[in-house]
Amino acid sequence: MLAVKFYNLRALIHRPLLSPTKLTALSSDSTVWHQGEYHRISLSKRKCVEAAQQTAKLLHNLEDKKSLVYGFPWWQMISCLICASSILFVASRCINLSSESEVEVFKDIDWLAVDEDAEVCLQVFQALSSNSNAARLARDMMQRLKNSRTISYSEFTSSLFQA
Amino acid sequence: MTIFALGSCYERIAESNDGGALNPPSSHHDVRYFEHAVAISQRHTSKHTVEHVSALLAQSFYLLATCQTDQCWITLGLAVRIAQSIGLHVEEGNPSRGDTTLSRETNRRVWYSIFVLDRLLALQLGRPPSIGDDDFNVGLPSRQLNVDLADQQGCANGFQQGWVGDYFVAMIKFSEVIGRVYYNLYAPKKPGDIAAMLSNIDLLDTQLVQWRSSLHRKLRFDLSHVFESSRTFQSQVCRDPIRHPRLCLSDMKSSVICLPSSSTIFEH
Repeated sequence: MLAVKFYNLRALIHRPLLSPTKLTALSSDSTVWHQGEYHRISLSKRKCVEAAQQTAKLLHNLEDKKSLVYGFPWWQMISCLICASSILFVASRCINLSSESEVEVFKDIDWLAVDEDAEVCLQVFQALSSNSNAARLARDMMQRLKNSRTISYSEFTSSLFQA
Repeated sequence: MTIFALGSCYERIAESNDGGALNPPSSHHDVRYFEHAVAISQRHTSKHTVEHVSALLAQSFYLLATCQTDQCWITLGLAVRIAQSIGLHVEEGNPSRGDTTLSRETNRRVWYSIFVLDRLLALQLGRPPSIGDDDFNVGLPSRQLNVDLADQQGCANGFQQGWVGDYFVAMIKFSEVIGRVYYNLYAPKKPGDIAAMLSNIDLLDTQLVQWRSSLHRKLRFDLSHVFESSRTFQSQVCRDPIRHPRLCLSDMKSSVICLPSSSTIFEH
């Protein structure tokens, strides 16, 4: 139970730097970012993605719905999984491909595995949705987020390798 | 009644068929138990007691478990106000008699259960916690079980004594980190520039990792032995249907609300 809480909070700690819009808002005209700050931002993004993956990985070997309800903090799982899956679905879009430093930080991330982990979250929402309105809403919301991604995986990886 | 509602709720969610038709909420046992619990509780609203706070706490937990998060926020807010009005957030002097020690321990557990749930809700909803770090002065709860506290001879069960109390204290410490994350990263007044944001993030990440390092060895989820024993334990329990409901309630109590074992809670 503590593992889910830990990875959820770690993802939330690093999530503010995942969003390019957020970063733009934080950079006033007078702010000049140093190279070190760019690198720290990239590392923070990576920690965010890894924490979200770790959250999903805790659910990889679930035998059935009982294992989920009795083995995890059920009252917290839906919000934890919304957090994890939303990060995993948008993570590939948040990488700055024009930054060599950032591409280097993410070079060994398996993006197929990231997508699979996001799918695990969706499957859990689906499993719980028969008796939970919140799980149904979460499932539909994350499904829409998934569908709204305009860059396909193949497009993303090809541009990653070109960068 | 609220505890029954929680147990019934767990069973309903765990046992439901994936493709089954949805039953109307009014037909659920847990809903009826909960409505009964609220009706009983409302008869005692004029009496501000620890038992009433405990009942509100249990109701908050049921509302959270059934994803009525906004109503949970309101009910827990009421519990916080009543707890403060009867002074659960402060303690003075040393208890001199055995019954006073037990009473003080009960008060501590109820107060910190409110504190933990308040921080958890704040995190889920992105709203400010009702209880600030400097808004109370209460000693940490004992790591012993209720039965050990009642039995001053101290015939403790070694296995359970070792980690149930530690779990609760760990959750209190974790909740303190949650508060710092909210105030430093998600509060309406956020860091104004990237350097301050990075500094906050580094500090909070360090504090979170330190929290994990400070956990009792049996709670260290990052060590492989914990997962192995946990999985073995879970599979044993799953084969034993009689123990299932008991484990469910035990987990809930030790995870978020460590309620005292007073019979008055069950009456609510």
